[in-house]
Amino acid sequence: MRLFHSTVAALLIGLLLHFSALPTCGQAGRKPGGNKSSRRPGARKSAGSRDNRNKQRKAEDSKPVARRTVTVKPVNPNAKFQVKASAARIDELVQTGCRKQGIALNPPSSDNQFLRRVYLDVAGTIPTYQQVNRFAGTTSSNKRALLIDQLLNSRAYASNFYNYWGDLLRVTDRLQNQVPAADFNEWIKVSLETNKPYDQFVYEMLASSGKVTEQPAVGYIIRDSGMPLDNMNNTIRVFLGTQIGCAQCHDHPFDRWTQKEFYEMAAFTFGTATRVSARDKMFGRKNVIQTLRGELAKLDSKSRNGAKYNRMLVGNLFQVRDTRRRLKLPSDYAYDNGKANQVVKPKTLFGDQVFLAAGDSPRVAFAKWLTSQDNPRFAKTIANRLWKKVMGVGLIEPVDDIRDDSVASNEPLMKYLTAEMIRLNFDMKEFLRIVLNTETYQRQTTTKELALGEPYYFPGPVLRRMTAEQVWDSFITLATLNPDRYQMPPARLQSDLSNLDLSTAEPKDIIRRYDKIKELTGARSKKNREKDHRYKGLLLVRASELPVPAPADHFLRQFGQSDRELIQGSSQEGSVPQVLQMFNGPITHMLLESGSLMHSNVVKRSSLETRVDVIFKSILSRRPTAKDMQIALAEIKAKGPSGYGNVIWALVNTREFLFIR
Amino acid sequence: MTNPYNNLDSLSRRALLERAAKSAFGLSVLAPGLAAAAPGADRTAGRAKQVIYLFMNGAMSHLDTFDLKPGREVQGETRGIATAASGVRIGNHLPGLAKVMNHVVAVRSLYQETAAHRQGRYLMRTSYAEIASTRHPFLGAWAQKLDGKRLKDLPDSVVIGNSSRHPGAGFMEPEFSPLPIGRASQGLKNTKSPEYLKDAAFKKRLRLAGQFDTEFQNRYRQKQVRAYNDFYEQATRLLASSELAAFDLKQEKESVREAYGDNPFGQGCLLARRLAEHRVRFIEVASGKWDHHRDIYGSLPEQAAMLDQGLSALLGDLQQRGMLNETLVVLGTEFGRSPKINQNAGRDHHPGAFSALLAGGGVRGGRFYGTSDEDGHSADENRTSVADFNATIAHAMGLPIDKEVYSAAGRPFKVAHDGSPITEIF
Repeated sequence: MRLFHSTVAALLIGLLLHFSALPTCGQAGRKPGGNKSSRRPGARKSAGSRDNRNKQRKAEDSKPVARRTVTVKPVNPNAKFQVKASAARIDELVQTGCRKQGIALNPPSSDNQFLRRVYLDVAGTIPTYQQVNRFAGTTSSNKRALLIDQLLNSRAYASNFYNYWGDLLRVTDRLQNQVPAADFNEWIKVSLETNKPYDQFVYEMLASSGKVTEQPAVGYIIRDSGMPLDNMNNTIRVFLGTQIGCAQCHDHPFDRWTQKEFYEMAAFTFGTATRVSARDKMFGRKNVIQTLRGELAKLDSKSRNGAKYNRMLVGNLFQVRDTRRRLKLPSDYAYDNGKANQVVKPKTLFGDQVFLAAGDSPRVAFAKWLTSQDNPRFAKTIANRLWKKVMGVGLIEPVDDIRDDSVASNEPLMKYLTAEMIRLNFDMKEFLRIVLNTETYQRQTTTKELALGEPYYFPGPVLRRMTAEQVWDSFITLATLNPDRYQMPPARLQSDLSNLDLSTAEPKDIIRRYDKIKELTGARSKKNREKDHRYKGLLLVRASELPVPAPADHFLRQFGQSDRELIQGSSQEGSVPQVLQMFNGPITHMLLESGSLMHSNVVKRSSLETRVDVIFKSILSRRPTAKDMQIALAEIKAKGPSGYGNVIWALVNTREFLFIR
Repeated sequence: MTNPYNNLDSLSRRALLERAAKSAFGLSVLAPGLAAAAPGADRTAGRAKQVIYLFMNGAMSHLDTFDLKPGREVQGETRGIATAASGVRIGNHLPGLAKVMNHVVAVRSLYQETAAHRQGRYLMRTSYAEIASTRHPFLGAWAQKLDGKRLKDLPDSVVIGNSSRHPGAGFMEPEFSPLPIGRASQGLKNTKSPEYLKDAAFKKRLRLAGQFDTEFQNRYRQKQVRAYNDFYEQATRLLASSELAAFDLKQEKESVREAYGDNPFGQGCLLARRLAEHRVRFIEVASGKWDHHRDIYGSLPEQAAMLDQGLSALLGDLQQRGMLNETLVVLGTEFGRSPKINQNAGRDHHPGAFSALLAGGGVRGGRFYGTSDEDGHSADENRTSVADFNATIAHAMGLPIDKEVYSAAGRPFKVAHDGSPITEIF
């Protein structure tokens, strides 16, 4: 094999071979645990020939790596005509809106523009060279609709939207110090894979009770443990697109909400406890943590007085349940409509009032009100958010600061999308399917700059830089052969072990479980899982299977992944470190090396022209223009193999690569 | 705040005393006030050649750091300790800082309106409330705009610690953006080209990229696209520069690195000092998790210890190198924390009163400025708005506070919005 540049060694030969020797993803039904590999550490080094190495690796692979196995729910095969009709109605409304403003619609996008855009919007990555060719080779007149369905039916849809929801819900690897978030995070992913209706998805987060290891949706509430007022504030902002945060301390200066109304809203969930006291009566009024720590310290002298086992101890105190705790107005309450320290009764901000009978959980009542199709802002907010996700800007902006007097740039369209969301029973995939099938989505992006705060009438989508995750996943697509094969360990592997009933827990059993978790998460098991996917210290897998947030100096953070402290904290702005990453980063250079998918696709072809064609289709999802071809050929003829490297490097360093047009 | 020289009614006792002292030394009472309008004539202005701004993400409790309420129920577990400045007591979690408080002014009368993190940080960094129709630039971008680009190869401003949603250059052009550094100990990553890639080959690659990108760039003449052209230029210049060493903490002695603390914030402070030595004008270091809603006395001491070590090492180091007079060190946060300790043994968000620090850069240290009321609930004497606080920083840098700059939409903005500087602390 030839290299694209002269001096770098062929580090990755093994990687390429190894991928081809493995079964593809989707191998379901493997069970965790069971037969252990008898391989001695270092045995691999002694393996000489390629054949031997392959045999050995196959043997290692018989040690099963546990996988999450969920069947992806496809779009409704019987809804095709309805999708067409709804898409046509949207186009009609957009056209009317544009005509009123005297705005000409953008021309239709080319097949290649559409292909690249829809891959990024649904699957979160650019298409591979093979996928570009396949689409180009399809002659069917409804090939765009078919591709939309195919992408919505793929696992990549969930991966991409998991990143989106992660940004909105501030998803991190830890809910609290001693509470890992794996169960909650996986629940989000599975909800997307099974296409759980959005109203149910939200309802479960707001209304579930118990531990995150048993009822993973409670992770949403445990994330904000100890901050019930902020949690309410976040809930209203994320799901109802409304900001009431200012009214936490005083009447809202720019919107109509009073401090009293904020408190009345918060009263619904103020009784929600997220943590059981270690002295709760279920533990016999003794401090159960102290007691167990004492016993553990006796059994394990190196356990720092039992603190080593805190995750099994303190972690099990975190559980969501309802109490009778009542919210009072603050002691410095300054308005005439209430008295300081007065108990506040729950009351909704808008829409229907909630009637609470004796024994009703106010939190459950609140969750029903919030997720009801009659709530005037619930369906509207998600319709507006998903529209923005694929069109680049919302009909109402900002999407999370909707007010009574907010007017959408196209009000009839906003109404129609809201009604569609309700008609579809909050089926997010079907909703996206309709929008993606519109002529509006399939037009060229607007070339003119969109001014902040100016209404946009959607003559076509707007130009966007890829999100951090899309940039990363696109590089992974270019570089690796089977990036979707890797999964992070299923949450239950650990949670079945860490979930304990503290009132009956035996210290010996705690130690056994702890050791088992250590073994599962230890360096060796990690290495086994990651061995085929590591390159220069980086785990080259989908962003949705990586720890979140990535470390502050990771590629993903450089390109704007949120630190997950703020709702939608991600950014699509450029910076010098991003450019340095593109210049000299390990991933850019991996593309140039033998073993990368990019490299192998090029060297398979013999003619120079075909190779240039492969490079352009892989990176920009289009064929080279005559001028591109001329420039590239001149470079390659002058420089030989390193000329390919220069062309590849140059293309990933274009704005065309980084932006979704 | 209200400028004490314009509004005699609200003069605090302290301001009155200081004014009396100034007149006693033969200074005109009106002179500093007039001077503020014309910075060139004011000797207190423009001392700060560099600013190091330490931003405490999450909202640092004022009551447990610089605004103690001894004997009040709201005080919680924190106790006061004496400092190098007589009469200035601070929280017992900050023993290192106590030794250098003679350089520091603690402003205890800050207040603002929002109790949401993002909006609070935005206001602190830009002096404007966050709105949908524009994005305001942060102080570092303002300094470059008003005073001109200072450095040829290095950026004029650097933000260490990767804060999400940093307002950056706001409505200004991308050349005013700060350079973000994720982890100080890693410095600026990916600055080494592979060995085989000689200088000429690198330029050739860039030229190729430009050729392939012509159609796209001609078609989409938008700021977001143009911004990248600018970053590509900046990055290329930087790579060829000998100033790159400014980002490399490995060039510091191990003992110095340890003195700042083996954590991202401590190393961030050290990197800030290196950058200040290289004349980078505005360096922000973001730190930590101060959002102590729960068990504040379980987690605040650790957070405070990192602050204590990093900040006191920084001040000592700047002093030793003779840089403190020309380097303004600021400690800020988005708001304070509630006087009442909640049922989870934590403190909630509290915008009514909070504290910040100013040191070096011409500031006469060793004292407090302003007070909050008896329980730290609301700012009381010498109430200081966020805009006033930022105007004070701008004043120290010698920036024209009244100068209007227009956004692309034709709206006028000022470096510290409607703030007036606290001139009496200089």
